[in-house]
Amino acid sequence: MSLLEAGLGPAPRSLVEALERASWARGQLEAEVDSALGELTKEELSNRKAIDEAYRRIAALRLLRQEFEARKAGLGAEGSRHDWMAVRDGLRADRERFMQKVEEVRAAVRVRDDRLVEELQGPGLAAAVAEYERFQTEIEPALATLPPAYRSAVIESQQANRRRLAPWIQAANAAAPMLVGPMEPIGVVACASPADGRPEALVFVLPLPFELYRGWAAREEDLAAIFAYRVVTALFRLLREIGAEDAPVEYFEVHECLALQVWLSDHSIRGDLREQTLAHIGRAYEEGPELPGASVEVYGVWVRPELLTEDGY
Amino acid sequence: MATEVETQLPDLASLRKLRVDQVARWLEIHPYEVIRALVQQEALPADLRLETQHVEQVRELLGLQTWWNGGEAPARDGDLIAALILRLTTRLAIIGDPPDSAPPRPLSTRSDNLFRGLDPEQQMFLRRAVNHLVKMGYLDIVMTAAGLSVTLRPESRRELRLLVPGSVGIQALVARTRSEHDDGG
Repeated sequence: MSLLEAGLGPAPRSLVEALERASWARGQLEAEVDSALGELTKEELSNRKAIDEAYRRIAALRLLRQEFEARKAGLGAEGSRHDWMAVRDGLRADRERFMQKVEEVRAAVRVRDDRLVEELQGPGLAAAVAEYERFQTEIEPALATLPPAYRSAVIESQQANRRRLAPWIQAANAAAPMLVGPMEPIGVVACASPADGRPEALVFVLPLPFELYRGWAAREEDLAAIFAYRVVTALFRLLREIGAEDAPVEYFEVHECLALQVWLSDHSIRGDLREQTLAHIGRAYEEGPELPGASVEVYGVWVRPELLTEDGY
Repeated sequence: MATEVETQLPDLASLRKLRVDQVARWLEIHPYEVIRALVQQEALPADLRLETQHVEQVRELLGLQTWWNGGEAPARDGDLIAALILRLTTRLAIIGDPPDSAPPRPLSTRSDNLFRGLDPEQQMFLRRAVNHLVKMGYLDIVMTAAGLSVTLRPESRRELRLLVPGSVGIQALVARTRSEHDDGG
């Protein structure tokens, strides 16, 4: 009710009455407004409490979130650690299994060679082999100095000798005898560093002992050496393909295995490095009969570079 | 004679083609270098068995030279170092020098050419001597795709020619090299 309305009604009989009635009406209105203001204050206080409570809950939720995020980050690092250990242990396991194959192939080759030597001790054959060898070491280097007619006769004799020995020459140069048994999967690990963007380095890790590289001169060429040659061939073919033929290559040890590292920072790489790497490793495996013959199946594995570091970080 | 041949066991090696490691031994390089050279020339046989022409291909592509033929390396340390320096100064040109031979001498050579043909002990000794020559500023060694490469620094033009057998410079070089060599450092 406004003051105007409060003053309405029957006309006052006097000035005093009019002023009393106006005063009474103002008092009524003030009481109403004070009551409404009191209600608003209560409501405001109540809401303020609710807001404070909500803030407290939000703060508590934030702390809880931080706890969970920290746990999640921890889980990521733990997962990477597991991957690193899987690569390390997998390479070592493949190396052990492969070197076992190397021994089996060596034994099979020894048996075959013993048989060939035994056959070549047959009538006239040993002399033919000795003659064949003498031609290579003594006669061939001096062929140009021989009179033409004598030279022709010597060459003809050597060709006849070669025809006679042909089955044994072929057998002696053949790949190792095939091993019987289930195919063993053997991985060659590769990565580019950094993992994203322009690669500065390319790394191959073979499941072979580093000693194969360092101590090659003291070792007999065997299946392990041939496997390394195949992968080295794959690497150099890849470098040609991507336009990094002259990139320097280093050899070192990763996870107790032989690793090859190429520095690519001075080169603009052509093509998809990952796809090309895996394709060349596949080709290297298929090119020769010796790895399938040893019941070994080689495959390439592309990994993140941190999995090949010393400590996994 | 024929009977004697008959009694020997036949050697299968004579029937076999060359292995990569055999060729590497002949050339005194690592087998992977043999592979790299033959891949570059697209000449690597699929069976990894090589012929004599591969040996020459690799030798030529990699610039392999034998600086020491059998028995010509001096036995005395000072003479050996002086002989190496003579080879360096007569086989390599120095940047800025006018050509004085035809074909002109190259400016650099593979570092292993400096030692090829020596026995392992002499190789090790001369490697240490070469390290001292690098420290003294006479030689530069840089990494290339084919390995380490040696060049003569222009500043060495006069000094290296003074390092002749019996000279004070050679004696000092021998003393430093021998000391390090004997320590195995």
